Amino acid sequence: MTDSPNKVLVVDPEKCTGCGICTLVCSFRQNQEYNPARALLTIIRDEKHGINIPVICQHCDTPLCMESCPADAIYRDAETNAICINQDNCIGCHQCLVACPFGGIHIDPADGRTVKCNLCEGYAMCAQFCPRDALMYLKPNELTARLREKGIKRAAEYLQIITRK
Amino acid sequence: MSETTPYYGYAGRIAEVDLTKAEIKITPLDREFARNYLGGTGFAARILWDRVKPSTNPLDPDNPLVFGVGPVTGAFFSPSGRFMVAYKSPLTGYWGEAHCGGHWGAQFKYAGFDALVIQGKAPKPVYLIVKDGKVSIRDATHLWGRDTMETTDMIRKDHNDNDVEIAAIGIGGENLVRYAAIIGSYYRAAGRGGAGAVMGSKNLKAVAARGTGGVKVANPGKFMAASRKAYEQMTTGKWGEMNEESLGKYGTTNLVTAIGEIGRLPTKNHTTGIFEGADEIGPETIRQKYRTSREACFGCALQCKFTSEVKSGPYKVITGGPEYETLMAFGSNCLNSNVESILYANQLCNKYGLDTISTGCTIAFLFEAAENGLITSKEADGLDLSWGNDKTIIALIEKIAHREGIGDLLAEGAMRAAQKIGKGAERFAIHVKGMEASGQDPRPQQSVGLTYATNVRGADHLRSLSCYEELGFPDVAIERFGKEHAEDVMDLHNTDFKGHLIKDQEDLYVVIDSLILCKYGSMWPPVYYFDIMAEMLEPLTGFEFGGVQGLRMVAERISNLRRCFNVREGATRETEQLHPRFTEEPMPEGPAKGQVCNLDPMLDEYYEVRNWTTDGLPKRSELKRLGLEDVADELVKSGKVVED
Repeated sequence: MTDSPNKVLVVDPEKCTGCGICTLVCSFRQNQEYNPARALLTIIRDEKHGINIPVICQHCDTPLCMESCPADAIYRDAETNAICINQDNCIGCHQCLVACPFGGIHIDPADGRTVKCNLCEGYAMCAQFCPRDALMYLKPNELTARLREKGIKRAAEYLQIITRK
Repeated sequence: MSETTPYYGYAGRIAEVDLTKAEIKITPLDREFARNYLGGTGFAARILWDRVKPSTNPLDPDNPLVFGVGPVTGAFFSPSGRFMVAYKSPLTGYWGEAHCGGHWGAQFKYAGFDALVIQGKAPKPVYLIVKDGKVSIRDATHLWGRDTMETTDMIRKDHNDNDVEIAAIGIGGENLVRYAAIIGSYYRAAGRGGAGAVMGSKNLKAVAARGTGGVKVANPGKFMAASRKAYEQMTTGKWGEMNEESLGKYGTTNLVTAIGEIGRLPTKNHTTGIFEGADEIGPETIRQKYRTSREACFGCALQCKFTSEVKSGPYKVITGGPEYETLMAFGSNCLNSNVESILYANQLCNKYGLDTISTGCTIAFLFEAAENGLITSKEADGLDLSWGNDKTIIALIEKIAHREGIGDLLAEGAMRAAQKIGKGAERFAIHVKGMEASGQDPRPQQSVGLTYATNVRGADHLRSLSCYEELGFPDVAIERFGKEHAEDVMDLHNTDFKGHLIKDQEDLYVVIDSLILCKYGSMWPPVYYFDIMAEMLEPLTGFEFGGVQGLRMVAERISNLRRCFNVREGATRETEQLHPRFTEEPMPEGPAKGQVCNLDPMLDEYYEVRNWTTDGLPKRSELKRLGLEDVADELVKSGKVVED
């Protein structure tokens, strides 16, 4: 059974501690190996100042990656609402990678495929295992929308602190 | 490199670097070796036994420095993000071992290695970069003299990669301070026993690691089930709640209160166990006034690490931690209740790469020696040597790291400093085997005495401390030792059964240190035991370890080999003794008022349970049972094994 199909990911960088458990369970689900370099999310870390920003596909309402794809390889999954890549169609041009403002598109270092989060077909392993609720998989409603907005604003703030120094 | 079939759990490679010849050799991991010695501490025990001679000077090029991770490093089994280093210790002359959290361990594993053995001495400063199956030697002239924070930033810049993890020394290691530490990820330390000085003696500034390889497991379904179970045990239910209320809420600072309650918070150079200023340096003060954020080690769900900030004043600083041991070392044990100075001292030690415990306790030694007229302010560069002077503490840390003035003497550690001062100063150098005592006291908790005495690296808790009676876990004691022994286990003040208890803890921690896991989750709270680790290990590695019994046998093998290393260096019952402060000076106050530590009966029992002689020597039959007959053959040459 997948977790409820229409849930959305909420990211709260204020709660993230950089433990990377999300990258472990994500890579394990994708590739049956523990390898953060192959995970479909990353954490921007500044451990000196204790700042950690999880970076993951927001499955946007207006997905720029999808718009930029010349090969119709990116689609929205009807059941989970996740933006997914059809590997049969992907020509590896990396347009989506350039277009995404959130760093949600990855190149798999093992095989060079262009890959991205698909919400584990509704399981969202990262959120299931996040010990601090920095990643949550929630029903879409007004509160969730507010939390998502807050998280993105906080991420932008943190990025400024990191890049300023 | 020869092709090998894929490994599970293990990365499958060991790297050797000879810094004198600038030679690098990479060999596939031998499966039998892995099965016999597990990883981390176990691998290091065999490597050091094979390569160190009793004549090896710890600061000479031929002292090997081993960096190790274990089969579980980089896999998801919380809390498993650590690495270890092993060496002959320049502080003690015996077995040296230190473990470190952060993210370095996982990156090293993802780079494709289980261990790195470094020997020789580079003609000029260098650092190593371990990256995706390769090890390279790089010039570090530009890094020499820099602190560990700058070094970390500069190496990341060299590689234009923020995910490169760095284990570095500061000027403490460069100046061969005998208790210099290796600092990982800015705020984590492989602290005790002088690993940083060994690095410094090799002209090795740092070891950087970065990898994009993964850890494969033999039976993914079964391993993930074991891992999920462990994760749930750690984060939900009884243990989860306890973690959130203690480690999760306060980190180890919580121990200032918890340990104060049993009258065991080392105060005034281990004179007493009660500190009046405990609240001022305690968990609530730090949480409310100084904490800025939580910063976890890799793959850890417990998350006891924080960053802290003093926002203004003379001690303005951003630092990681502080940990309980640091609060003890620069706080209660120096009679210093200025918490901001402790945070500042903590960061100085991070930057210079110094073990906070040995640094603080050596300063406490100086204060007591001065109080007793054995050293004057004039002899100490004019510093005010009265107890608790925070300015003096900070000045001394600077002097120790730079080996300036009185700091040159203190950089040798309390034992050697006392020998040089003479006039009976040894009375105030609280150590075992030359290592300054950590934040425990054997008088209010008898088993600590046995832990200190038998610990292969000296007066320190991390090789066998029992928390059942320390922090109160009677149910676990019953489960593990049976109703008939649980009462003795739980009694802080009697010595019965403590030999069994500490042998069991030592073997448990040997497994933890070889896998490698954090002590939190096994020592405190006592969640993981042999059963959980045996259940996880086989689906992880695909090797048959023979369940709990087999794993215990591996643990005994490593424990015995490590002890044999010390025997070869001259350890006997006579060197496994406590400072008279613990055995002759009664605790002046608190729950253990009037008590001393009664070591002998515990030591007798420990040797008996280990099947060693009462003189603290191994027997051939026991070594043979553990597959260590070659070790017996070598020890027999110097008459250090009993033929039976």
